Amino acid sequence: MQSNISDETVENYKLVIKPVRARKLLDEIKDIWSNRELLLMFVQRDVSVRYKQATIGFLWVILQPIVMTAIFSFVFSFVARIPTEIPYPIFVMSGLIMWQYFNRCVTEGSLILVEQASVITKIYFPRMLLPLSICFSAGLDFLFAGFVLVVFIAISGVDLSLTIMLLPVFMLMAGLLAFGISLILAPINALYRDVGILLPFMVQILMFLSPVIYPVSAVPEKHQWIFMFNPISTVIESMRWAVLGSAPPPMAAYLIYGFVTFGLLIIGFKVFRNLEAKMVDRI
Amino acid sequence: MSVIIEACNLRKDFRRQIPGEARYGTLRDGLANGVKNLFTKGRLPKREQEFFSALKDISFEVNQGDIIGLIGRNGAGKSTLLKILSQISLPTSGEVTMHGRVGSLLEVGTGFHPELSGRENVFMNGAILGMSREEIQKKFDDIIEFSGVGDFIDTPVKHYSSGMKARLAFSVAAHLDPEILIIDEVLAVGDYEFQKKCLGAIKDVAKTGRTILFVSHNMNIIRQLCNRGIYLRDGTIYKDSYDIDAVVAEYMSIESDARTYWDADEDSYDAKDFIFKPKKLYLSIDSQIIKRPIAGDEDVEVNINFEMMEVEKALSVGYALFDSMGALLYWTYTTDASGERVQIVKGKNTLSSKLPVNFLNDGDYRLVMIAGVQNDRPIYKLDTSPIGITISIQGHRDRSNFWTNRRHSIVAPVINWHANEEN
Repeated sequence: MQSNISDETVENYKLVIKPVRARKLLDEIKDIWSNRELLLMFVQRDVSVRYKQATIGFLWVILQPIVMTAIFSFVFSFVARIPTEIPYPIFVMSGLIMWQYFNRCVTEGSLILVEQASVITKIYFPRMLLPLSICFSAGLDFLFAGFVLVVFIAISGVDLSLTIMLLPVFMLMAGLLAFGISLILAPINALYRDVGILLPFMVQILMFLSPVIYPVSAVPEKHQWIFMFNPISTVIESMRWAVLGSAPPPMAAYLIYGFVTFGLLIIGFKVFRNLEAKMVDRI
Repeated sequence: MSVIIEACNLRKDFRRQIPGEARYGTLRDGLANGVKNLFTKGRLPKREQEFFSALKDISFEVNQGDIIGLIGRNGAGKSTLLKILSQISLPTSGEVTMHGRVGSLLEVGTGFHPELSGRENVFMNGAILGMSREEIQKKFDDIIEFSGVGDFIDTPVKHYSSGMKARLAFSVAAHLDPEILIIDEVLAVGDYEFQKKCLGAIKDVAKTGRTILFVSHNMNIIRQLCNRGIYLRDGTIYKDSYDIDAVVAEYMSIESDARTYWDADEDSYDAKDFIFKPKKLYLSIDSQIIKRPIAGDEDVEVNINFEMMEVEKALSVGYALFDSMGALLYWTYTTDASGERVQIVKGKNTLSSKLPVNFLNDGDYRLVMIAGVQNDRPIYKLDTSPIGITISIQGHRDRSNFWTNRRHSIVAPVINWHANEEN
């Protein structure tokens, strides 16, 4: 069954286990890359479990944004009457799909270490793969929902913009931002469980601070610049630019997005690395 | 032989668990403590009693090809050590250098998901244990075959019996290819047939020159499998030797808290009978007093030491043996066998008899001294005698791999079978 091992393998390999994992950011990224097969397995598991568990499975992925759109459309275009340039259902759906993606990455990504506690206390692998896998599996749902959106846009007679090719890029942007946040929150949640309780509430606030269900134009013009400092807003506006051809966010917004995301990732890697070992002993 | 693992002053401290308190805190408490520390500028000393050491600066070297049985009571630090070697947990101080890849099996079926099919779980579990997809693909048929799960491989694991799950999970692990294999008490699952198969697989792995660290509470398996024993006690290495039997024996003699030696002086026992004064009741091997648990194949003598105030020809001395449930197995007297009678003299006497070898089951037995004068009076009756010791039987060297657990029977002789040639 097994092959004999030679002295050579023993001499060539060396791993030192120390009280602190002295690792650089680059090592971390290399680690993720060399474990890409395991990452894929996590994504596969996540996706197939989700579709197997719910009886309507795959349908749910498509139904969820439609139902949400219907509800928000009813409230905001019939009851509250928010003025939008494009039909409100399509406007809100495009925002919701992107928001849902970001929301899932952050929420599920922050809770996954606790959820997978039995695995991480039994075997070693780069734990960052867990929140990262969420960004991918949720991304698949995003693409499906995006397809449904495109069908809706076509039906409603609004012109599709060629910028739709940029959609995966904006998804990646949202994913990176969410990954940075979950890298910070996931190990903190493992140590202090009340983070998980606070999280849905914080995310809800974040949603209302971003132009998901209302357009930026609903805010007085002199205050609109504030959205530039909200990277989620930038991502959502980019999404609308991609599918509906609306005005893209200003260049400064992208710069700020890049700055914030990069910063969150750097801090996230550091926090995750520092708390990882502590967390495993206490989870 | 080259050194494959070097552990140097390895220490692991844990926060002491306060009863009733959750292991994880709340952010509120964390922040409150942080603020408190800010104001006191860290002047509050960390209370030392809040911490305990699971490993206390241990050092050891493992040579390539060692098959180490790691033994010790629960809480001795075995699991902590395995977790550090598996990189799951980091040491508080000290370091370990590994000259080989580690495959660790601290639990069978890590990452198994009940909704996924057996096939999907094999790939998932294999990937978590560090196998590449290609590697699993290549070994897939072997894995299925070894597990005996067969036709159910595409059924969700939630429909499997626990035995099937364990077999499938162990099969994946048995096909791991690292230089160092760490196994924590995982053979306790599955039926005897499969356990035997697993042991066989581990022995095969051992033959390829791989290094194995093995934790089990089953001393029989440890004695069969390992060529070196490390006995951990309260976070330190109490004994480390290539004489596995010696380590196991030491472990059993120390960790057994049952009383295996009775001494009248120690108990300040005052015999009521005016001519028969029992002094000691003990077991011995080769005239050496032993207080440790014994194996079913050892030649053990039961010794009764007493003093006679005057000669009494009709005196019978013996013992009765009860199992842990209190059932009487047998009793015996010096006057049992025909032939020459055992001579009891005035003054000190020691009577000895062999405990039946290859007869008792694993477990604890109570041996009680009995005595009486025939046709006159009972001195110590088997149901009321206060003089007794506990005999612990653990394992039997002649038992095969099929026989790993205690049998649900009163006695457990190892009986040899042979095929009859006249069919």
